This record gives sequence, structure tokens and C-alpha cells, in this order.
Amino acid sequence: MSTTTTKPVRASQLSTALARDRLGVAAVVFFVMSAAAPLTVVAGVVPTGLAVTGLTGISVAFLAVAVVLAVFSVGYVAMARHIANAGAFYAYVAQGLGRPLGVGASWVALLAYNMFQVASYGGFGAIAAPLFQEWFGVEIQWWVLALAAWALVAVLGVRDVAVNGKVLATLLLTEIALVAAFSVADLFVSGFEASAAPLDPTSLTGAGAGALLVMAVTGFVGFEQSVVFSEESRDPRRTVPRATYIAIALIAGLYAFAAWAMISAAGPTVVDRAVAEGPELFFNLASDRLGGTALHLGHALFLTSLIAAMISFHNIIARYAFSLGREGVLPRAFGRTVPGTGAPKNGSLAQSVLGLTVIVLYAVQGWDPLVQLFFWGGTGGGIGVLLLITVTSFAVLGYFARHRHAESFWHRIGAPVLGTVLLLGMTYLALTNIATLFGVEPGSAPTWVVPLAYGVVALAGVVWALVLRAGRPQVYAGIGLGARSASTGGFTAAMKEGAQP
Amino acid sequence: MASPPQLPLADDLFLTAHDTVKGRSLLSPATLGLGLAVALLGELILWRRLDLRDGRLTVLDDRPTAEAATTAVLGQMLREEHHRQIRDWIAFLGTGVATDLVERRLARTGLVHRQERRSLLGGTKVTFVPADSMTAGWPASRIRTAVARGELLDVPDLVFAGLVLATGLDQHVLVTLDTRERGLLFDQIRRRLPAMLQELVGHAEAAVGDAVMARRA
Repeated sequence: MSTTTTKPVRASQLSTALARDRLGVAAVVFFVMSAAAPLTVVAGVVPTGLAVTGLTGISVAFLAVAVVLAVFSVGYVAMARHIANAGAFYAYVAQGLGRPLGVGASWVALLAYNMFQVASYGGFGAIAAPLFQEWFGVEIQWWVLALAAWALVAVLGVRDVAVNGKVLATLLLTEIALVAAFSVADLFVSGFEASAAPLDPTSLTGAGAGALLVMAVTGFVGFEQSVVFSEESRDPRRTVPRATYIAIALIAGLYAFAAWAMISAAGPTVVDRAVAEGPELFFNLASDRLGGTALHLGHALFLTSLIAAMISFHNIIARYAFSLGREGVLPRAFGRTVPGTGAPKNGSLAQSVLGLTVIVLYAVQGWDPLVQLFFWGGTGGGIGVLLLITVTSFAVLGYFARHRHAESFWHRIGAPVLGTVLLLGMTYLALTNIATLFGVEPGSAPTWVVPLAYGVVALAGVVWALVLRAGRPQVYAGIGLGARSASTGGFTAAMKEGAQP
Repeated sequence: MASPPQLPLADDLFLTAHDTVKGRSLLSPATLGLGLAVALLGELILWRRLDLRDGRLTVLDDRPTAEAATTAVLGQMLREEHHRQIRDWIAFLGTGVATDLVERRLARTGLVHRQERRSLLGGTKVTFVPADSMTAGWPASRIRTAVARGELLDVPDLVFAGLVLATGLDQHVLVTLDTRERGLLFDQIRRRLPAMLQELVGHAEAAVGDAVMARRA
């Protein structure tokens, strides 16, 4: 590429100043992992998944999904180098498969990310309620605690966002250390017996394979954010790819080991124990060895982990809406920020309104916050992200079929073809296994509501794109270019279209 | 009432971006920096020293301008001739270079005062605050009055209005405009602002959006 080979004759003040702000591998890995929330997955999703599905092959599922995502990432990070707005799946779809599918993908992404977000409110309430009982002897309804967490996230969302980064970073490191320590402690529990079940590869071909894979995908959500920094990494060809593979490997290793240690320590009755103890399983097992202090610390971190995940996802959603608002795909109001802080205010407020609605709905209906909100919402969001990754994989192929650039055969075609085939297989298994995943009767409402919702939203997005093409060609032309493009903003559109933003 | 003389674009933007009572910045440092960066480049375009086309800047005339801040930017551009993408220059000047130049220019004319405040951690924080709330409020009220009276704004004021919109400052200083007045303002910008300067404002908006997406805003 000519732009990267230009060699300044003498030290350029401009190049130096811009390079100072550029991110290295560690910073990008850190950012990606902070959206991943390790403790939420290991102590929340894994035991709940064991209880709901009765399936124990989760470790091998984490490893298999890591391999598939790594193969997918080869083409994904390669395309990220060539397009604007690389942080969002819909940008790839818009530029690889056309703008109508791009808008469909953007709406699917909004739905999926919002499902994660509301799921975390349910999880927080359900997990915090018994802990508050234990610590303070007070009985508080789950939804009161969920609303408290919601209010915190809502306030942070419309205020300064920079503060959150440091807090998240500290929490993340403590969390990873704690998951590792508890898992090692599991190895010395009296009933520990190295179990082969979590690592049995045949569980990925048997009944319920799709359910395992979706649970595993849920654990990786956030890895796709690495490419947000394509344009500001130290070395665009190395930093982001390396950070992506490292993050995937770290997540896979940590989760697979933790799940294996937990299942092995619990022994043959692990599923029954998961049903009886829920998320407590992770803590109960290791606390035999580590004692009460570690237990309390673990519990406290579990709650902060959930809050960290909420804040981080809330910000991702608000920025997604901001980007779409800037493009004019969502109302322009979403493209506004608070001038003093740069926080994407309206995207944040909209997310908070949705979160409040869901918490109130579950409270009024008396639905179960742990299984029906946290687990269904989280894995339902996981299905959405799996669909998005699959479509994006096609988009990478479509893009490189038309733009050869300076990428190798493996980056343009080899890995994307392989990744697409694997992802199609996973998507098929996921969609046919929803009953197992949710622990409900085949054909019952939850099994078709989730895929139907994604289908309807995707279709509505496609239709909206066609409406824009007919009525507002200027907006249509900018779909997928994001907030960074000077040709899409409200001002430019107002100049060309005659409408005011 | 005699109107104060019209200040350079970046000075107008700096004063408008500061609270007239307490002197606090209404914009985050990053957004203010990007806005002032574009304003200085805008001044150079108005001085006919620079041209902007398809995201690339060209130096038309390398003679210094009549004042130091824009001359410094122009000098830097002449030294770094392999960098011509406007987005690189906005990013570079936006790191604090532009804010620094504009603060010094305003301090020289006495329109802002240097204020030192001791922070809790022991360091001193230097801020520049408008010396006079009348002058600080003037640029925005000039726009509001002209729009309300249906008068035409000159080209520098149209760029200024564009930058107020691009940085989100309109949420503070143009909120009183009703829908019709807002429409009139846009109409003027659309019809009377040269394409090159429209593109400039578009880059300002995009740079601010970029900062929001990358969590730098």
C-alpha cells in the first residue's frame, strides 16, 4: 500500500504527534476483554447453562468456537484495513453484500446487543438479591437491585465516558486473576476427578451441539470490537490482527480451563448441583479450599463484573446508535452528543428506556430473572451475534471478490471460505437447537420468537434501506460509512439534501 | 450600540465555547481542540493561503499571514509537505496545538486572561478564560440576531455557524432558534457558503464523530 510505505525524509512533528496517540497490542486486547466480562461468563453463563441444558461439553465448545472465530478474523481484520467504520458488522455487510442487507444487519446488531444489555440487568438482580440477604440480612426483590444497577448505568451513560475506562480495566484484571485462582483451587477440591466430558469432541456433533456452541459464542462477544482501532493502531497490518487473535486465545483458554475445572470438581452430579446452586456453584466449589474471605471477594467481584459488562455494553450500543444517527439510518437525533463530554446522549437514553421497560415487564409478569432474562437474553443475543458473524463472513468474501487490494489469497479467499462454511454449520446447529438451549419444549414460544424477531428486524432494515434509496439517495449512499466519514454527517447531508438535521 | 470588531474565526469559536459567567469550556478538550484546528485551517482558506479539495489541502500562497497563529500553522504545513490529508492535520492540530495557538493569540489581545488554579493533587492547572462576558457572548448573538432579522451573514460567520453546529455548541448557543430560523440559517449556509468551506465543516463534523466512536471525545 502506497500510504504506509511513504517514508518521511526527516522527523515529522505531525507523524510523531499522531503516533503518540496510537494504540499498541496490549491496549487493544485490554479493550476487547473488558467487554467480555470473564466472571459473568464463567460463574453466570456456564453454571446456568449446565442447569438449563444438562450439557457438559462446554470446554470443547469454547475451544471450537475460538478456532472458528480465529479463522473468521483473518478476513475480518484484513477487510477492516480497507473500509471506514470498521468497528461495526453492518459496515462490512453494507460494503460486501450491499446497503440494504447492511441496514438489516445494523438493526439485528442493535437487537442482539440490547438483549445482552437487558440480560445483564436480570442477572445482576437475580445474583445480587441472595447476596444482599447473606451480607446485610435484608430481603430485596431482584428488580429493585436491577433498577439500581440500571440507574447507575443510565447516569454513567449520559455523563463522562472516559472515567469508565480505568475502572473497567482495574476490574477486569482482578476478575481474570480471580477466575484463574478459583479454577486452580478447584483442582485441589476433595472430590476432584479430571473429567473428560467437558472436552469430549463428540459433544459437538451430538444432540445439543448447537446449544453448547451458542453458549460459547456468547462468551466471546466483544472480540469484534478490536477493529474499532484499525485506523489508530501503531501498525495497521499487525496490531489489530495480533490483538484479535490474542484476545480470542486468552478468552478461550481461560473459559475452557475454568469450565473444565468446575465440572471436574463438582463430580458426576454436576448438573444437579448446577440446578440447585446456580451461579453459586462456581464459588461454592472453590471456597472449600480458599475460605470465606475469598468467597466474599468473589461475590463482590461477580457483581462488579456484571456492572462492568453493563457499562461497557451500554457504551457500545450508544455508539452504535450514534453512528447510525450520523449516517441518517436512525433519526439524526441519535447522532448528537453532550458537548461537554462527547457522550452519545440520545443513544444512551434510548437504551436506558428499553432496559427500564424490560425490567418492569419481567417484574410485573413475575418471570424468572436468572433463566428467562439473564440466560435467555444472553444466549438469544449470542444467536444474533452468530448470525451477524456469519453474514459478515459472506460480506468479506463479497468485498474481496470485487476489491483485490494487496491482500494474500489466504486473507481474501482461503480463510473467509473456510470460516463461512464453519459458521454456516454453527448457525444451522444453533437455530435447530434453541429448545435445548433454552430448556423448553420443542416448538414452544421462545424457540421461534427469537429467530422470528431477528428475521423481522432484518427484513424491516432492508425495507428501510430501499425506502431511503428511493427517497433520500444522499443518506442511502452513506450507509455503512459511519461517523468518521465527511460525506455522511448531518451537516453534509443538510447541504446536499436541503433537509435540516 | 457600536459592535465590537469581528474577530478571526478561531477566536470567535474559542469565546463561544466558553461559559460567559465562569469561563468554563462548554466542550470537552478534545472536541474544542478539533473545532479550533478546523477554524485555523478555515482562516488560512479565507486568507487564500490554502485550498481544500477531496480531503486534500494545497498551499496556494506561502507568504505569512498578518498574524502569528495562522502563520505558525502555514509554516508547519510548508515543513511537512508530504502530509496533505486534512484529516491528519485536524488530528494533529487537535491534539492541543490549535488550542494553544488560539489561547495565546487571544491573550495577546487581552480578550482572555490566564488563570492558574491549584488542583487537589498539588499541580497547577492553567486555563484561559474570557476577560469580558460581553465579548465572549458576542459571536453567537451576532448569528442569532442576523438570523432572527433575516439578514445575510458574511462568509466567515457562515463557517463559524457551521463549526458551532459541527462541534455540538449549537445545543448551548443556538437553542433559542426556532425551526423556521434554523431552516433560514441552513439555507444561507447551503446557498452562500462556498463548496470548499462546506467540505471543511463536513470534515470538522466527521472528526468530532470519529473522536466519539474511538472514545476520545
